[in-house]
Order: sequence, then structure tokens, then C-alpha cells
Amino acid sequence: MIHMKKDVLIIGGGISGVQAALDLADKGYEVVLVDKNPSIGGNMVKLDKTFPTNDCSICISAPKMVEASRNENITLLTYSKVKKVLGSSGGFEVKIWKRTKYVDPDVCTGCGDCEQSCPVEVPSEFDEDISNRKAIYVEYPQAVPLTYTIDYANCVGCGACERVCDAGAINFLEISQEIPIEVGSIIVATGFEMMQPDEWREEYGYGKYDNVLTAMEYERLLSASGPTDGKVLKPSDGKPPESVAWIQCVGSRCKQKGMPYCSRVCCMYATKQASISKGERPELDTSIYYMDLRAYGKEFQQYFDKAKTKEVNYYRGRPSRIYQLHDGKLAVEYEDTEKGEVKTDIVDMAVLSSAIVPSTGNAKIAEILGIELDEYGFFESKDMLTAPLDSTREGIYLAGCAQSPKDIPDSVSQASGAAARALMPLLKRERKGRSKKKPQRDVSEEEPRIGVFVCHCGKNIANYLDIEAVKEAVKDIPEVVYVDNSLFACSEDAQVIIKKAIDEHKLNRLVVSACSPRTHAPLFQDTMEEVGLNKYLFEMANIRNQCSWVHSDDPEKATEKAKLLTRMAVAKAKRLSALTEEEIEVGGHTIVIGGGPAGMQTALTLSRTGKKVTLVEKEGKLGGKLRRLNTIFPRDIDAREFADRMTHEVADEKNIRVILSAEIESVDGYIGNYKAKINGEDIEADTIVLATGFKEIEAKGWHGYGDDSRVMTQLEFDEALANNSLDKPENVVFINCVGALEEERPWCCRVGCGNSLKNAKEVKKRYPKANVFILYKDMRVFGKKEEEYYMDVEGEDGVVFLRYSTGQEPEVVKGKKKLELKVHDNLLDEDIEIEADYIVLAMQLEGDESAGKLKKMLKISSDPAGFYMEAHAKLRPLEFPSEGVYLAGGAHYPKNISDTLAQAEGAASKALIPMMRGYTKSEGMISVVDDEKCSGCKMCISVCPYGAIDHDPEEGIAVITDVLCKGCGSCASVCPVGAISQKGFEDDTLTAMIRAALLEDEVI
Amino acid sequence: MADFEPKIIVFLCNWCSYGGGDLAGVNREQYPSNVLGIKVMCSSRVSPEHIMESFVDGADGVLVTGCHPGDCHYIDGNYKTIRKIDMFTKILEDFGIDPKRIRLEWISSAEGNKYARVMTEMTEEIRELGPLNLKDEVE
Amino acid sequence: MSDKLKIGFYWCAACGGCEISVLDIDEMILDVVELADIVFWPCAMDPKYEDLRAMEDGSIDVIFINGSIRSTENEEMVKLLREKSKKVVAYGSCSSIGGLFGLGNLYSKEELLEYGYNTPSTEEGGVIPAENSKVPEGELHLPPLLHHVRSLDEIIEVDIYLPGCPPLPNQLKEGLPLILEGKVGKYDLVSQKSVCDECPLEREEKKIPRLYPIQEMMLDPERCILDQGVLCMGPATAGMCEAPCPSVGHPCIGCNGPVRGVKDQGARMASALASVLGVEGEERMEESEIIDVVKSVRDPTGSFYRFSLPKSYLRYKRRDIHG
Repeated sequence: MIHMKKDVLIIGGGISGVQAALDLADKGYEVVLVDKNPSIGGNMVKLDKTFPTNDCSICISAPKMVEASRNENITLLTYSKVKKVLGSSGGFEVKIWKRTKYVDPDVCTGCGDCEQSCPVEVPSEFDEDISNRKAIYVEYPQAVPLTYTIDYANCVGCGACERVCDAGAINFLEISQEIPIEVGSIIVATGFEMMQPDEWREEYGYGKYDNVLTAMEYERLLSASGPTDGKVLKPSDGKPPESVAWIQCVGSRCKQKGMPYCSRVCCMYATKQASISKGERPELDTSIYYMDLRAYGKEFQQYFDKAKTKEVNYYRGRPSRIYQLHDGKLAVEYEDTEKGEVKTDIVDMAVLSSAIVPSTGNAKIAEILGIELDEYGFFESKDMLTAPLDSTREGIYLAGCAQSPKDIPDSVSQASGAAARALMPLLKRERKGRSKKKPQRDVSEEEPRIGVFVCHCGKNIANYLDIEAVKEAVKDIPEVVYVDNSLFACSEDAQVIIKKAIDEHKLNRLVVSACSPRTHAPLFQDTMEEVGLNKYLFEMANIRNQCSWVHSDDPEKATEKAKLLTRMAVAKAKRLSALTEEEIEVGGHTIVIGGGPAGMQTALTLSRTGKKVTLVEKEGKLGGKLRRLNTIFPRDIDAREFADRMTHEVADEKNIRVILSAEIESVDGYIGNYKAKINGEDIEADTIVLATGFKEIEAKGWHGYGDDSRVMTQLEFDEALANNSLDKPENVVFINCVGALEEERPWCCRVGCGNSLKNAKEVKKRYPKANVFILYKDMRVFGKKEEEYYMDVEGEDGVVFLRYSTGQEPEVVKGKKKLELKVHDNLLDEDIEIEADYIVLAMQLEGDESAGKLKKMLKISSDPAGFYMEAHAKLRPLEFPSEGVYLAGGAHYPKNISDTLAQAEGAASKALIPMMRGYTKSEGMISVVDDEKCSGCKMCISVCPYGAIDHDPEEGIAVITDVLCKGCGSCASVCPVGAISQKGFEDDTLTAMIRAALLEDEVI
Repeated sequence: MADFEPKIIVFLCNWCSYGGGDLAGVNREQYPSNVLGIKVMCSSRVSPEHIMESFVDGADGVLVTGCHPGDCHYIDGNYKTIRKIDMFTKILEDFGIDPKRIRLEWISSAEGNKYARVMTEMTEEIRELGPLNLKDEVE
Repeated sequence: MSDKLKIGFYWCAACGGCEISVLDIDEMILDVVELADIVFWPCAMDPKYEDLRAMEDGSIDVIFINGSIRSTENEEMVKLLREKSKKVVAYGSCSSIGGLFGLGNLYSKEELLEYGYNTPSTEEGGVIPAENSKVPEGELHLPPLLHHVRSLDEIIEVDIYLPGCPPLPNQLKEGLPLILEGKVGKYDLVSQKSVCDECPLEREEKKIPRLYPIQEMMLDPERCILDQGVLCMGPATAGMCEAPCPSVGHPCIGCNGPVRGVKDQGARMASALASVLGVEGEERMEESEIIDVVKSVRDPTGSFYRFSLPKSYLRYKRRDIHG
């Protein structure tokens, strides 16, 4: 039996689990990633696109999955469950139950012959049961690992798959096994499930009417690789609908029949689904029925505004019921609360945005791990606000939706944060260093000697084209000295043959004409490295996925194409040269800019792992916005006390040096080599974390601010509460969204609604007789326990909520004694006048002004609101395009304390990757500048997304910093004198491939 | 022109469109074999010279493919591609070459069906246009 | 005859500027004459075809040929000169890369004649000269135009390229003695760096929101012209000219053609300019806005290929668009 000694166990292979695994593995910790399904990927890979960027979900997540499967520090245990956990933090003993797949994953080539032969069809869970799969299957085409699984429950044991499997991968005798593993810490990332709206059969007819779907079912219909090839069709008759209705909050924000909390993502995914559907078919009528439109995140409001311009209709009202008419159409009955009318809309299809609910296995896992769940079944944090990533037991941490519903960027931020937490019990452990590679043969002086291997892929290639003809087509090319074919070029024995051929024929280039390099190139490259050949001397011709499989109806033409593709690969191989991935040293010193909660938490985490930190704060005291708040939403803890506690913790850390009243004069350099000048002092650092926070926009001119001291901004009111400096009020008015959700500043400040609520509650607590009015546009409270808090405040006597619209801003005039406020309530459709003692403005928030200066110094960018632009909105929220600078807290976008702290831990985790490794590596296929040609026109500099190109003023030429170059090649295309070339994709190489493809007599 | 078999060079970006091509294979989507793919890491690597090289060597059409705007693995490479191809298409037109012979398409790695559809459409459209014959043109 | 070198000058389809440029070298012309005898120079002497035909093959040591190849006469003459000469220098951009007249390749010969002789702006109702016509004195023959303009090396082998419109005194002062002494290779006088390398203007990272016509701009004489949003071909144009145009506030128009090793100047410039135009904030633009930015480049083909069209990949207008 296998007994594994590893560092961290991660339960759940969705995007959170994968992210946490990568963060730890990249630092040299060994991770076991367990998933109950046959492949990793979780819910994200089922989505068609992601809001608000409309990124293709599988496209952005698949590279991460592949990265995880190829990382030598990550062991994937799929189709497996945690059975038992003993021990404690630093020394857990875990037993994993690994179910048999009846297919040997080391032998299975993923060719799919078995699937074609299997006679059993069962509903595909991946496609939400809309389509069928076989009893031997992979969940989806890009699945990781891409090997087959026999689903025991449905297999009839006919043996058809075993007979067609040329690789001999199927073994009906393989048994499930228990695997004991020792780890130091555990991360729980079990994700979420969508509530099956069976409960809502009566009201909305789910399960009763064919054309009532869940949002996840609709998502699969939208997906280009889904059951309908991306076409939205009515299940009842397979025809496209003319109108679709989205019903929000099905099971969310509903104590009676579901969950009281807000599911946090539905408003946006419904907006996404509607606008994408509308984009595909502009004539489609799309309507969204909602309670509050919670477009709270970065770029969300703009996404929502854009959907409205695309004529996606929004109706504020929760439908009371949906019923089917005689002609099969659906009637949606609702009250349009903005118009005060009860209406019935007739649609073809209804999509239920059903609640995000805890995974069903959570209770069992909680029991095995000895940790607590909250009242809904999500995992409970040690402290929801101040320790969101810690479970109730030491050594066990939480990531993603296992803790509460959240969107993808919040999940991956949290996952990185959980990774930072999980390494705390492991600090004394020895980490895995770089694996030693065999020394490489220097081939630079040799003439090219190319070996070509043509793969049959069992029958997958050989059945549809003439392998011998392909061999014939390249064998006379002078540089080709060896040509062979193989039943499965990727099999173990084929590797032995390839190695022998390299040795015997002194090959210095390898061409494999087989399947896709995306899945198989690394395997052959490993083989090359084992015999001391540089892995960049390799090229693949894809004669399966892009030839035999897609031209199987015409073997002659398929053969012709395969010949050309192989010739092209040889033409390229001839021009390849050995490439190296440059390494540069990265030490252990970080400059954290910004001393608010995000900056302090980042500094603490870095320091606790033994890294040096310089924490830079422009004010005279640490604490940032916490110093101005009274309490923190939604827990009502004292903000200043919390700030003091963190400040003390920072002071206790020997590794942290704090510079207060700091002015950053300059920052220059790159990862491992930053040079900053702060208060006149030169400081060198290896990484930089930006935690510069946000600020209120200028309030002067808004609702009488500046003319009367009783009109205050939210932060000023918080200060007044904290200092107890208010005169006993009779009426207090909170105006939300001041300067927000309007043309000039369309974004949502994300935290204003919550702040108004907690201050309203505080006013009521101190002055029970006072009346509180909250003027809002949409009530955007979405985090854990926030909806519940809102319900409590709404239930209090003397708290009045009034909804107003952009363009109908409240008017404030100075009365005789009090302030007089007039507002049009768009729900009552009435003008309301209030005499107020205090008017509190929840001001729009924008990025700190330091962003303007820092972004230029660090060659990064910010959005029009002044928030930094992260490397990728969904999957890289804490990073910038160039390695070495990271992002946390309000500098990314305003957020509440728990999200801020999670992000800060995450940013620390990111900065720790190169610092714990001690080096960072460049890509191999990077761009190089020819000094003899470069004329210093500076065209290439702004084109580089990574800031890797600088102008050398002395030489007057462009200089590429190798470690920053990611090898896209756009600079090579921009250079007007041909001074830049991308290794592996030089102009000569591409031209040679073109000529090999088109000119038959061309000498390759 | 029914018996004319066009030659089409397709530049495939490594992260999205090449994956789309692979997926078309997995799904066994059939399309004409006239297209020959050349992989680049990002569509922004493709420069007008590569397209012209293809035409003068005998290609009847050139297709450049990349990630959808916003999806670029290299953040914003494909925006450069949009501008390059647009400007270059105008230049080709001035040179008397039918702009339909150059095409830019966004194909994600989830769009195997779109990959097959675009390859089919492009082949049929070029078949309709007839051969370009820059290679053989006599003066 | 002395044992001095024998050199010659010839013009094909040319404006005459190249001929005059020979005199721009001022008193250095005396050094040239010291080194070489000029045995053939139609612009300055009056030789007949027969005189050239009578010369022995290889009797001219170096022939400097300027102008594009536009007519059958140009074609015949340079073939003849090739036979009579040991070394052929493509002098100036017209013979090196096709030159300004190469823009005519965007039209057919017939269109050009029609435009030249029969449009309101030229000579409406004019007569297109016939190739053969009878006059009282006898029969006249005009050498017909070729279908399109070509560079010299499309007709004969060229030994040395010396681009420029015309080659400038500094290029000549440096280059001529080397040519005469046989010390330069084929492309040695084509710079492998661009005009930007020699341009004195202050450049920034190129983030050009859009282009503007030069007449709409008040240009700052210290700053890079392209940075200010006016098209300058400097980045894609071979230097060695010491950037005379941008130095006095006029954008480079690309007369030297592409740098050594680059095949297509226009394609390079298109790729470079399209990459950096509107690069800032591109991720927030709709595709239509992006296209709009590209539209701000007026006549890209004419601007980018002003001098190098006959030596580009495509060389002349094709007849692929029907209807």
C-alpha cells in the first residue's frame, strides 16, 4: 500500500482548491488535492462565460488545471474522498478512499475509442442531465486528468471498451483502495451546489414545465461545448425561444422557503446570461425580475448598465408565480414595485436563479475534520470578520464557497489567502527544492539532425490516413535522418524507442507527428530531457485533433494535409535552437505600501514566515480607514480597537520596519531588484505589495455639503459617532450612492450600503427615539451575515427606507432650525419631505491619489476610478501582469474587512512564491533585441503588456528584461526594423513554415 | 470553380484558437482539409508580412485567429491584432486583393463547433472567389 | 586613355534630382574626377544609343543608374549597360526600391494615361500619345510604358544599392570613394538602423491616441512628430541620411525605403503603427471604437509605400476584386 508523506491536504478540486494547491506547490510544499469527481475543475468549468469580462470560462480555467496536474509538487487524487482524519495541526493523519476507475490512468491515452464503443447511455451530470454520456467517460473534453473512468453503477460489464482499447488500459479487476497520508495542514475547498428548485414546483413550476430551467442548466445551453453547441433552445420543442425571463432570488433572501442570505452572484450571472443571449440573437426579448440589483463588484455596475443599453429589461419585483398557458408559453405574474402595478408577462422560457447552497457532503466532512458548520451548512470561520480563512480548528483552513457564496475573484483571493494560512504550521519543514535535471548536450555547433515519429494513436490516426505516406513525405529532407512510426507514441515503450533513436542516430531535433502539443508536448519534452536534449528542440504536428479526426470522411485529403503539417513541423524543427529559462535570485524583503488593514495583514503574514518587510504609511499612524470608522459592519466591533490590536501585532514583529509619514519619491526596477527612495532613504526590495486603499470623492457641492456642518460624509459621521460628538438628533438621514451609479462615476462603491446600515443601527441604539431614514438606490448587501443584518435594521421601529433614482437626487435646503430634505420615493411614487438634524452622505469611493504616481513608477495601470488594474479580473486579482508587484485591499476595489484580510493574506502568499523559492524563472520563448538594428523608436515599449521593455538612454536602444517577458511576441511584430525577434517564432521560422505549407518544391 | 481546392493558411493562437481546433477534433466535427494551421503564442505575433508571404507563396486565403477580446492570455495582444488586420485589410484592397481573402476570427478553446464552422465558411468563401494565383501571375 | 577608372551615369524614369545630387558633393567632385573618367552621362553629354552599343563589354568600371524602370526604353538601356559595365550601382530610391513613381503601380497603365491626358484636373479631352505616329518628317516611335514600375534589380543584377531621394551629400561623400575603391558590399550603404536612430527629436513611449493631418497640428519642434500624432515614416525607414526632415519639423516620408534586411517597409510600418495607435485604454474600447482609431490613418497604402511599392511583397495592383 502507498503511504504518502505530504505537507498539505486540499479537499475539493474546484478553482479555489486548485488555486490554493498551486500557491503552496509553487513554494515547494507538497500538496495532495482530493476531488470526489473523476476530474478536477468544479463548478467554474461548467460555466460558459464569466462576468463582467465575458471571459470564456473553460479557456481561462483549463490552463490552471493543466498547470496543477503537471506540477511535480501536486498529487491529484480524483474520484476520491476523505475518510478519516486523526492528529492535530502540524501532524494530521488522513485516510483517503480512492475509488477505482477501472482504467489505468498511466496507460490510458484519452483517445476515446472506448467511449465510442460503450453501449450504455446515462444522463451527463456535467451537462446538468440535459445530454447523455456513456458509462465509460470523461466529464468534459478538456478534463484534467484526461483519462477515462468507468462508472460502476451504470456499467453493464459487456467488455466492449476493453476489446477496443489498443493501449490495454482497462482493468476490470482494479479495486478501490484506502490511501494513508500524513500532512501538516488541511484546506477545505468543497465549493457549493445550486439549490434544486423542486421546492418551488408550486410557484414556478420547475420540474412541471419543460421550459422552466435552472440558471446552471441555461449556462450549459449557452456553452459552445454544451449539449446544444451554444444555442439556446426550448427543451419542449427544440426551437429557439422568442423571450426569456430570469427570476432572481429563487431560494435566496427567503427565510420561509430557502436561505435568508444573499447568494452574491445571481444578479450578475443573470445579467451575463441575458446580455450574451441578446448579443447572439438581438431579437430575443430578455427580462430580469429582481428585488435589488446587486452589481457591487469591480466593473459590475458598468456591466449592468451595458446590459440595459442592449435592451435587457429589468423589472423590480419578485414574481409570485409562473404558470403554463395552453400554447405552452409561460405566464410570469409579478408586482412591478417601481410602477406599483401587478402585471403578467408572457414568455417562452423561464430561468430560475436558484440559491447557492452548501455542498451536501459538508456535514460529513465537518464531522471527519472536527470543525463546525454555520447554521446553513457552510463552514464556520474562527471569526467571520477578522479570521475568515481559519476554520474552528487549528491547522484547518477554508477557501472559496465552502465558507460562503462568493464570486470567482473573491474565491481565488481567498484560496491564495488560505494557502498563506496553511503554511504557518509548516514553517519548520524542509521544502522541496528544484529537481535536478540531466546536463544538456550542446548542439549549437551541430548541423540539424531531425528524427520524425509518426503516431498511429491506435486507430485514431492510422484508420483515417496513410502513415507510410506521411513518413515518405519527409524522409528525403536532408536534415531528416530518422523516421519511424509508433502505435502510441506517448506510451512508455515508445519513449524507450525515442531515447534509443536520439542516442543511436545522434538526433538533435525531434518531431512528433501525432495529437495536440497542448496535451502531449510536455511528455515528449520530458523524454528529451532525460537523454540530455534541450526540450525546446521539439516540435509537434497535430495530425489527429486537427487532421484525422476532422477529415475522417476523406482519407486521401487527410493524408495530404498530414504530409504538409509534418513538413511544416520539420521546417520549424530545423530552425529551432536550444533555449534556456533564465533564473534570477529573489531575496526576502518586501515593501508594503499602505498601512491600513490590508497592508498590516500582508506585512504580518510575510513577517511570520520570516521575511523582512518595510511597511510604508503616508499618515502618522497605522490603521488606515479603520482609524476613522466607529464600528465594523456587519459585526459592530470597535474599529479603533481592532486597528490598535493590529498595530500592536505589527509592532511585535521584529521583521517589520514601519515608516510613517512616508513619502515615496521613486520606485524602480523589477522582481528581486527593486530600488525605492522613501523619505530620502534608498531601500532595496525583492517584491512590492500595493495596499494604498481608497478615498471618498470630493463631497463639496453634494447635497449642501460644505455649507452646513450637519451635512457629513459617512466617514465624518463615523468619526462623530466614535468621538460621541453628535447632538441628540430627532431625525437622521442617510443618503446612499452620492456621486455613484451616475454617468461620470458609474461604479458601485461596494461598502456604502452596509456602512449606512450599521450607522443607522448605532443611531437607534444611542438615541432610541430618533427616526432614521435611509435613502438608497439598490440595497447592496451581499456578504456573509449582511442580508440578515439588513433584515434586522429594516425590522426596527423608526427606520424608514426610501428608494430614489439617479437623476432624482434628494434636494437639501437649510430650514429655520433643521435641514429640510425633499426626495421622490420611486416605490411609493411620492415626494417626501424630511426635517433632518443630520444628513450623512455615503460618498462614492475612488482609488487613493498615490495610484497616479505609483502606477507610472511600477509600469502598471489603473482604471478610470483610480483602482489598480489587476492582471486578470477573474483569476489573477492579486497580481499584476509583471511578476513582483502584488495588490491587496481597497487599492484593488473597496471591500469589507473580511474580504480585505483574505486578500491581504492572498497577496502575501503571492509575494512569498518567488521569495520562498529564492528565484524566479523567465520563459524560454522570449523576445530578444538585436542591438545592431534597434534604432530606439520606442514603438515596442507601450505594446508590451508586462512592462518588460525599457529604453536604455545611453545606448538609445530597447532593452528587454528577460524575467518579465512572457513570450507573446507582439513586440517582434511591432518592430519596424526587425530588430526584435521571438525565440522559436522568428520571422524566418514562420516564413519557412508558410513556404513548407505552400511551395511543394521548396527546399525545407 | 467547383473543382478548385483553395489553400488557406490559418494562424492559431496557442491559448484559445488552437484549443478550439483541438476541441473540434475531440468532437469529430468535420470541415474541409484546405486549412493549414501555424501556431503562434498570441495573435499579436502575426504581422502583415507573414500574411503577404502566404499570399505570394500561393495561399488563396489567410485566417488569423485569437482569443475573444478581453480573453487574451497576454492581456491585450488581440487588440493589437484587431487594428493590424483592419489596417492591413485596407492596404490589401488597395493592392487589388479581395478583402474576403483575409479574415480575423475569435475562437475560444471552448468553441470547437465555431472552429469547424469558420474553417468551412472560409473554405467555401474562398472557393467561391476562385484562386488568387499571385505566385503564377504573369506580367 | 589613362588607367583611371571609367564610370558612367544613367537615368531611367526619374525626376532629375539624382543627377543634380552628384553635384551636391561640391568640391569633392574634383576628387572623383581625379580618380575616374566619366565615360557616359547622357544628362551632361549627348551620347547616342549607337555610341553605347559600340563600347566594349565590361568597359565601364562602375555605372550609376538612377530612376525607375517604367518604359521599354529603360528596360533595354539598363540591360545594355549591364553588359557594358563591371559594376552596377542602383543610385537613389527609384532604382533601388522602385521609388515614388512606384505608386503608379496602384493603377493600370491605361488608367494612368487616361488620368494624365483626359481628366478635368489635367487635360480634359486631351489625346493620349500614340506609340507610333507619322509626321511630315517621317515615322515617330515612342517607347511604350511597361505594365508597371519596377526596381532596377528586377531587370538586371545590381551590385550595390544606394537609396535616397536623392542620396544626400553626406551619404555620397562617405559612399562614393568606397564604391570607387571597391570597398563596399551589396547592402553596405543601406542602413540597418532607422531614421529614428539619428533623429534629434525627443521621443516618448509610443502611445498615440490617433493620427491627425499635419495641417491641423501646431507641432512642437522639440518633440517626436509621431508622438504628436502626425504620421512620420522615420521608424520604418533606413537612416544614414541624418534625419534632415524631422530635424526641421517635417515628418519623414520614407524615401530611403526599408532598413537592410526588411523586405516590406509598408507592412512593417502598418504593423508598428497599428500596434501602438490607441493602445492606451484599448481594453475598454468597443471594436467599433478601435476601428475608428485605425481610420485616422489616411491613405495607409500611399503613405507607407510611398517609395518602396515596387519592391514590396505585392509590388503592384492585382486584379482579384471583381464587380
